[in-house]
Amino acid sequence: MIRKIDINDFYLVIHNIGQIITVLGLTMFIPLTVALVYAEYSVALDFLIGICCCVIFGFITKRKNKDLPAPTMFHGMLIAGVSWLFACVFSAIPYYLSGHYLSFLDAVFDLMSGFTTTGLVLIQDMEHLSNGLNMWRHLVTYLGGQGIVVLALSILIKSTGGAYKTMVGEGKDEVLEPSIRKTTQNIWIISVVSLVLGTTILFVIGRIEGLSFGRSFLHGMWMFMSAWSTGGFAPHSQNILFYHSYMYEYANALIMIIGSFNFALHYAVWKGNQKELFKNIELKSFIFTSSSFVLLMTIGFALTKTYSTIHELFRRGVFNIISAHTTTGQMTIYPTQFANWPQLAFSAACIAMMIGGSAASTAGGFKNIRVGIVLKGIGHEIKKLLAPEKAIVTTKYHHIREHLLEQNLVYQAALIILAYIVIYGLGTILGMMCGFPLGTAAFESISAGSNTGLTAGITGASMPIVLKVSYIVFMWAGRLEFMAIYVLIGTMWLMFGKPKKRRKLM
Amino acid sequence: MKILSIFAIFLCLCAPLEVKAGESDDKFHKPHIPNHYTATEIITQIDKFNGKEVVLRGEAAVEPLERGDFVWLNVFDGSISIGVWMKKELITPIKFYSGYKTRGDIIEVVGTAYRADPDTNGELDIKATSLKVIEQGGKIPEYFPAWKIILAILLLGITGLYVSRWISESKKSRKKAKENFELGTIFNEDIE
Repeated sequence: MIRKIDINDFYLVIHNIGQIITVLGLTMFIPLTVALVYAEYSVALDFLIGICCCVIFGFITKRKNKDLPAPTMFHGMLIAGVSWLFACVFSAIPYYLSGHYLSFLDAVFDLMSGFTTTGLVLIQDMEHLSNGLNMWRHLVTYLGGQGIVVLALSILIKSTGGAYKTMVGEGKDEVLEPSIRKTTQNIWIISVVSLVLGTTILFVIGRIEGLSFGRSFLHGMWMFMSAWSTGGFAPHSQNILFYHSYMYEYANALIMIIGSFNFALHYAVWKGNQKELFKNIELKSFIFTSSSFVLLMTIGFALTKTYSTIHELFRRGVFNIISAHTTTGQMTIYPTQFANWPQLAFSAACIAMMIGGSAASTAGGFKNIRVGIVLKGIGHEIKKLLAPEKAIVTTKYHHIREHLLEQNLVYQAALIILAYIVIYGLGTILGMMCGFPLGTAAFESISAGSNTGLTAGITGASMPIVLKVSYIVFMWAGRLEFMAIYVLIGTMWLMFGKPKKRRKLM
Repeated sequence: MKILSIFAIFLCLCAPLEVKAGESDDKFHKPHIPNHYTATEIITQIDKFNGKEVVLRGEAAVEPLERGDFVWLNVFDGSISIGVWMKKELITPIKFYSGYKTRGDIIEVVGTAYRADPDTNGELDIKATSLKVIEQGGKIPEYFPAWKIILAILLLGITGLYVSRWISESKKSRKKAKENFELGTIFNEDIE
């Protein structure tokens, strides 16, 4: 039976989206302050306009709580899905007004890339960016990594009903504490404490490597935000290559690995459960897959004799494989160099991006836990075939606690993996239709769909509009892990699809 | 007021633009001068230039990173920068580096290009032997278009109206809740 949609559903969804956009608008006070501190008054004006637009939208869409129905999982999915689109449009206002974009679509592209922690960019003239705008670029990635709905929930918990349902819609279904408020707060505590520690470390390295005091601090904070949220943005056009520093690269590699882990794992370790590090299925899966990709890449480079020392291999090869696997997208080589990687290393990077990091983390891709579950599922089927007919075969996996492997879980994991493969394939075909070679088209499509942000040279302001729009959709779908998108498509179908069954609004 | 607000937001999204990036692109992406290359040309055709002497032209980017007697200087061509490794004394003629408020000096660097420089752990870079300033940079004044200021004032006014209405409504509802609470207390006392 299909549910009915009426005007109250619409009001509930738009009311919550308005609240989320208001909170997002208020966060623009941070880059506004940075702009004022550095006397970038034109930039401050852009942010003022952005804040006003967000707050006005919040007021326009505001409804009295008593008039609204109780939120269900359907509403939660819809709020999560649509709020990301609205967030991109409203947050793009200061981007667009800055004059660093050739069109509003380009600004929305970069916003979607930031919020989904992808890291692909269409921005122009990066070496003349203001500190205010750079602050907003990296803050967007940081907020997107924790989840913009999580941000709103931690502030608006009393007025936003169906908190858990909305959070699930955003792909954050790990509940660290019985209360959602406590869960969202814990996610933020972990992130903010890490931000302080990480910024300090990168600040010190920045000073050692010749950056000025102020720049060391700001760059330290931005690069931490970029690595921790597995975003991949950087304040300059060369990405992390700008610093020409192995210390900076190794520190960032470590931050991106930790950032790609499940929040539940962070929380378990935070609470003193260090044993979890040795038992967790996601972590085991990550170690296994990343070692395999590094091995493949090493063989690839050894055959072509591209790099002659271990240090070169680590800085130019392993770093980029880790960046691909954690779906961060920071690069120690130029985009066109990726296209010239040996086939074996190139394939390893593609598969690493496809799989991605952990579920309920800032990372994208299939997620390690799903790969682990499907592999366990295959093992379970083999065990069943080998066991006597009447034997009951059970398989367990460890993620925070012991779980029994159920067929439904394997089915769900396989279904989501399939959905990712579909968008990777679709993006590859579209890229080829636009005239790009198969390898590069596949690389870019996987990078967008898995929210990685590595580029082999396709992504740029001059790329065809069809690719810009499709990558925006892929980044959005990949980040929300499809469920919210399915609900949104279903709702559209109910509203506009079948005239006979259409539920009128009002 | 809602219509006015929607109109203001719409106006904001359709606002005319001055693309600084475009200007910058024009500056560097002009027709190729023989023997001078941009960062993009060297990076994309590195197989051709690997191990050979090149002349790179571009803007001195951000700030040099000092490493003992040497420095890393990034040279920007309007779309991407390339790292140039050189002796510290070579950068002395540079007065301005690129930034939000400054246009960096346009420099010409002569050096050897490497696809995977063994001395810098396999980085694609240039080892410079000489550097000269072609065109001095300078300060970039901030630009405040009139439409942007008018739009900001308009939006700020509408936001102010909404916020003041929200504050007065909140006050009213708090007052009402307080009255209801007091009435309820009196009613309960009467019953007792």
